[in-house]
Amino acid sequence: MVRALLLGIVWALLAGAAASAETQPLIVFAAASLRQPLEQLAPDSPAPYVVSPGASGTLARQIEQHAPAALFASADPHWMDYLSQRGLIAPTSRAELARNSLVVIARARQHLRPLVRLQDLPARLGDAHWATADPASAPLGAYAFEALTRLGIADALRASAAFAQDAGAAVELVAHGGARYGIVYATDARLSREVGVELEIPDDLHRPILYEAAVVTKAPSTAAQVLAYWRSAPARRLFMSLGFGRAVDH
Amino acid sequence: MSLTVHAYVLRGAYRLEADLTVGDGLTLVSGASGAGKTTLLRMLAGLERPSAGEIAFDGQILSNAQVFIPAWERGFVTAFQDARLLPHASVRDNLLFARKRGRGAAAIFEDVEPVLEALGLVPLLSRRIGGLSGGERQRVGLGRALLSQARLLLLDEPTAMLDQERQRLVFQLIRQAADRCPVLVASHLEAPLANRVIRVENGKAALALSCSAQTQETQS
Amino acid sequence: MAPEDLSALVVSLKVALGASLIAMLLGAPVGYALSQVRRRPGAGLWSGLGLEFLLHLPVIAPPVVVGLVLLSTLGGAAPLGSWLEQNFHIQLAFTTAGAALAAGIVAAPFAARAASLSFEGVDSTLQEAAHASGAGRLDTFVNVTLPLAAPGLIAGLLTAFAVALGEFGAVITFAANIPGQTQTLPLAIYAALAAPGGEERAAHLALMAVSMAGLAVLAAQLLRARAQRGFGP
Repeated sequence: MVRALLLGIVWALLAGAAASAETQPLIVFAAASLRQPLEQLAPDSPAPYVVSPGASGTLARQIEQHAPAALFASADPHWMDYLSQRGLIAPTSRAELARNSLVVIARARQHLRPLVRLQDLPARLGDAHWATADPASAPLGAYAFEALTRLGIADALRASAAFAQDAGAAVELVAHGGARYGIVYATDARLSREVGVELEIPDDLHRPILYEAAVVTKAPSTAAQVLAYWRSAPARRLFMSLGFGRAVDH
Repeated sequence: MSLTVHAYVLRGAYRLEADLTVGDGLTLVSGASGAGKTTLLRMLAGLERPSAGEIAFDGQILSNAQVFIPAWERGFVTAFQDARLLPHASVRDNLLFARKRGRGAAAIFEDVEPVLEALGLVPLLSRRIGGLSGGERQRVGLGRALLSQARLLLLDEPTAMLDQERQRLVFQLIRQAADRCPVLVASHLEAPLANRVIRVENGKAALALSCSAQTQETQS
Repeated sequence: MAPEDLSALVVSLKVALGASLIAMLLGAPVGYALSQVRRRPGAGLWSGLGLEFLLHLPVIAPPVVVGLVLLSTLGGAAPLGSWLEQNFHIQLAFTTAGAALAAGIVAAPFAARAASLSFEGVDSTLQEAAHASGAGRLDTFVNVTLPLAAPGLIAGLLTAFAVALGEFGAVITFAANIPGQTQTLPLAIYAALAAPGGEERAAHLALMAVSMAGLAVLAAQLLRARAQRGFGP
């Protein structure tokens, strides 16, 4: 009986390893923050696909190692450049899906005095902390500090910064952890009902926060159709309904 | 058959020197507790390598400075003082363990049943090892050795946990086995049925030359 | 139960079972070697240090590093990986089997430790008795050592299963997060939490993982009882 069980396990694993490509839906490697919009768009897609979420950097490295992805949707242009330089994406297919903007959040229903300008943040904080993602590991932190540097308040706020592993964790810190404010993406503010947007940070204070997608080389021709669908008007409306900013066509 | 031993074991302060030749039949290894009877048997069995010297069986070198034949290749079978039965196997499988690994030699006892009867093992066949008493375990351990195809049997205190009546019966069985296969028995009892006696005392193991009426000396 | 959830459960089951076997295949020999070194007369504090280090390597390294190492050796563009792909059409990265391999390597130290302790605890007098009854080294290992070590080895298998079930970093790095193929329960939880309102689904998935672990404990207990019958009265 034990022998039969072992054989069954080995068979099941090998069956997984040798899955044929023709009958499977397209695999989309997408940054975790894009999982929700892309999955919601899936039912009306011209070709069926599944979303495989991860960190943009890990996804790019996996595509480099011949991961079976047909499309790559990245939250960080740096990694799209990485693949482009290595000739791993179809160069003309690279396109913007959406943008994002930065917001300042605080715990909901707190009735704090309104934060009118980002420059007022250091004074408003006092001894308290503010949260964002660690600039070393997540682009959110880099964008946040870029905006703060542009206003000349980065040094003043560095000591009181609480770095979280990613945007979700930063939101949690504000919702429950005692960080009075947080700087996250507009889309992240919706991750928790416990936080509300205090202030929208102007887009000109940082590089554009781009979500791009491209067709991976050697992907089936249907991949390009999916990408075109993601850039269509109905798809754009869905992105915006989830808090994303409008994509800019070049 | 001829088993010659000119070897010694040196372990820290412990020293045992063995200088003897053994022939067919039943050889009693006698001596006080702790004298070295078990060490001698282990050396012969191949479970311990002598510090120096040579052991040979029918002209084949079993152990010297260059050569050491491991226990499982000597064709000897040992019955241990503490039985040493395999707890995960049945009584039956334990009894037949050595017999199954006989490498084509002739079994000491061709029929299994008489041996089981003589040792009183028949009612135990369906029992688990864990539930056996000390005496029962010892009899199973002895049974394992007697049912094998050994060309030499080494029995270490095989009757220590048995009552007197049982001891007498078991020794009769051992005497029967010794008629077909050379047997060395370590026991601190006196045994009138032995062909020769090896005495182990004061760090030396050698054939005893005694005029006692209780022992026979049959040099083979 | 939603079909995606069922798929994550099935993938987790395949991956964890495969991983625990791989963990045993990798860990048991190391554990056995370590036990042999420790049991030798004269073995002291420093015996087997090299093996101990080897045993702990996958534990010291963050799981993501394990995944990256696998990716850079067995990935499609890596030397060993491309060789396997071209000559045998075997691809491990981004497959269920690859996920099992990644999780198995992370779980191997636990299997090795359990194996080392199990083999060390085997009564050497019984091994001697087997030798003195005509059983050679392999014979003794199969018929005496292994059955006696079995209960401990099964416990090690269970630990490896539990570790593999919860493994995230190594799996998502080497096998990616492909639903239906490599999206295990932990990876599905990560995906669920990436969007608002995902907490409910994540909790649901976590409950499934816990239930699976509970069933594994039960199965291990049954196996152990079976291995130990005959040990007692």
